[in-house]
Amino acid sequence: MSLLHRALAIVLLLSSTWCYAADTREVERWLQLMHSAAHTLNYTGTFVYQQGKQLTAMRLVHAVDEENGERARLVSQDAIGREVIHSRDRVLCILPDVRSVMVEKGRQESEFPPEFPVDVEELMDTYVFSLEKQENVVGRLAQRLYIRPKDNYRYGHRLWIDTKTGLLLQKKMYDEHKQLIERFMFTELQFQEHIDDEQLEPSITSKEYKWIETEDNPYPEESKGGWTVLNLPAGFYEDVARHHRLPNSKSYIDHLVYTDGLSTVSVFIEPLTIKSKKLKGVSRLGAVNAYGRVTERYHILAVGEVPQVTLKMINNSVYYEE
Amino acid sequence: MKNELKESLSAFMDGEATAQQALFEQFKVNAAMRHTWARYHLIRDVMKHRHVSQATVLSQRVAQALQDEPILFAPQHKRRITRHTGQLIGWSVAASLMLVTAIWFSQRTLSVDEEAVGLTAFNQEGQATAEVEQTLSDYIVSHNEYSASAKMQGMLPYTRLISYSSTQQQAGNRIE
Repeated sequence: MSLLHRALAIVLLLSSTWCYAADTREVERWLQLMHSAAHTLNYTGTFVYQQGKQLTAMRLVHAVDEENGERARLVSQDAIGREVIHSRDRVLCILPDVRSVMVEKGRQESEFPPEFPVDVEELMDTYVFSLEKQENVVGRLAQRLYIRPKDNYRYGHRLWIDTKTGLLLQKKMYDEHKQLIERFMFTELQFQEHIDDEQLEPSITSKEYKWIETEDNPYPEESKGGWTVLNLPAGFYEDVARHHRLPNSKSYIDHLVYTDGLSTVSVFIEPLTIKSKKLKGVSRLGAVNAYGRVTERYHILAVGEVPQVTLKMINNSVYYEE
Repeated sequence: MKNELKESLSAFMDGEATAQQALFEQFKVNAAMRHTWARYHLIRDVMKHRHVSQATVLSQRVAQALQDEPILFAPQHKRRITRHTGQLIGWSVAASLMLVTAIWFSQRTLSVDEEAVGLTAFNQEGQATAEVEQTLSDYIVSHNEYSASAKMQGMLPYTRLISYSSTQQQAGNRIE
C-alpha cells in the first residue's frame, strides 16, 4: 500500500468515526430535548390516539410549578370519559364505566426534573437511529426521528419532535413486521405561562366512586424476593423490583421491571388463589402485549410494549432462586 | 345498533339503499343511528381528506393531520353514485341530518369500521371476562408507572388505558 493510500485510509477512518459520533450526539440532543419538554412545560392540547380500528380524541393538561412539581390530567373525549390524573406522588385512574378509581403510587424520582434516563450509545447496539426530514405537525416544525430495532424483540418508533420546545408532537409505533400498530398525534396545542388548578381537578367527586389503592410493601434491603429472569433479549437489564398489592387483589405480588432504555417489560408474579381467574395466553391493548402462564403455585404475567415473542421468552424463563 | 341497520345506513350513504323512507323514520327516533350516521360521515371525510362541516373543529384537524398518511388506510372501494333524482333528494336530507348530528357528536370516539386495515388487527380467539380485563388494567397501570416510555414521554402510555373500555377490547385470552 502506498503512502497516499495509507493516508487516504486514515482520513476515511477518521471521517467515518466523526460521522458516527456526530450522529450519536445529535440523536442524544433530540432525545434529551424531548425528555426535558415532557416534564417541564406548561401546556394544554388535544390529540388523537389510534390503535387498531379505534380512533380516540383526548385532552391533555400538563403543568409544572415549584409548589406541586409536575402534574398532568389526561381525559378521553369519548362517551365513557376515562381520565388519568398524575401528580408527584400518585396516579389516579378514573374509570366511569366501572365506577371506580384506581390509585397507584407515583414513581418517586430523586430529583426534578428527572435525570435523562437513556444511554444513546448503548441503545445503538440494539437500535438504528435515523434523523429524517423536518415536517409540520399541528402547525409547528418538527424533527422526525426514526428508531428501528436491529432484532425482532422490540418495536420501532417514529417520533416528531417540536424543534422549538422539544415536545413530542406525533409518534408512531411499528411492530416486528414494520406494520403500524399505534399512533398518537396532537391536533391542537397551546403553551401557557400558568395552568389553573381547576384544569387539573378530577371531573368526579370522591363519593360517587369506589376508590381502590395500591399498597406497597417494600423489600427488606438487599433482598428482592428471589425471583429473576434467566433469558433476556440483548440490551435488557433489571431496572426495578417491587413487592406490592394490586388495587383489586388481596395478595401481594412481585413486580420486576426490565428495560433496554426504550422498551420495557414488567413481570408480575402472584400466588395462586382458589377463586382467582388469571390470564393464560396472550392479550393486547394497543401496542401493549400481555402473556400469562400458570405454574403449580403462581400466576406469572409479562406485560410490555414489545412483541409477544419477547414476552414469551422472558415469561418462560422466570426463575426463583432459593 | 343492530348490524342490519348499520349495513342499511352504510348502503344508504353509498347511494345504494332502496328503503330510504324507513331509514328517515329511524333517524327521528333512534339516537344511536344518528350518532353512527355522523360518525360515518366524519370518518369518510377524514379518509378522503375533506372537511366535514363547520360543526366540528376536531374532525377538520384530524383530517388535515392525516392528510399525509396513506399507509394507514386501505384503498377505498370505487363508489358509483347514480344521478337519480330521488337519491339526490335523499342526500340533501341526509346532509341536513349530518349537520345536526355532527354538532351533537363533536369530539366523540371515532370507530373506524373498515378503513384502518393497515393497523394490525387484534386476536379474535376469544373474549376476556370482565374480571380479567379489570385485572389487566391494574397491571398496565403498574407497568406504565415504571415504563421507559413514561420517563421519556410523560403521560402518553396512559392513553392506552383510557381509550379502552370493556366493549372495545378484543383479546385472545384463555381463562383458567
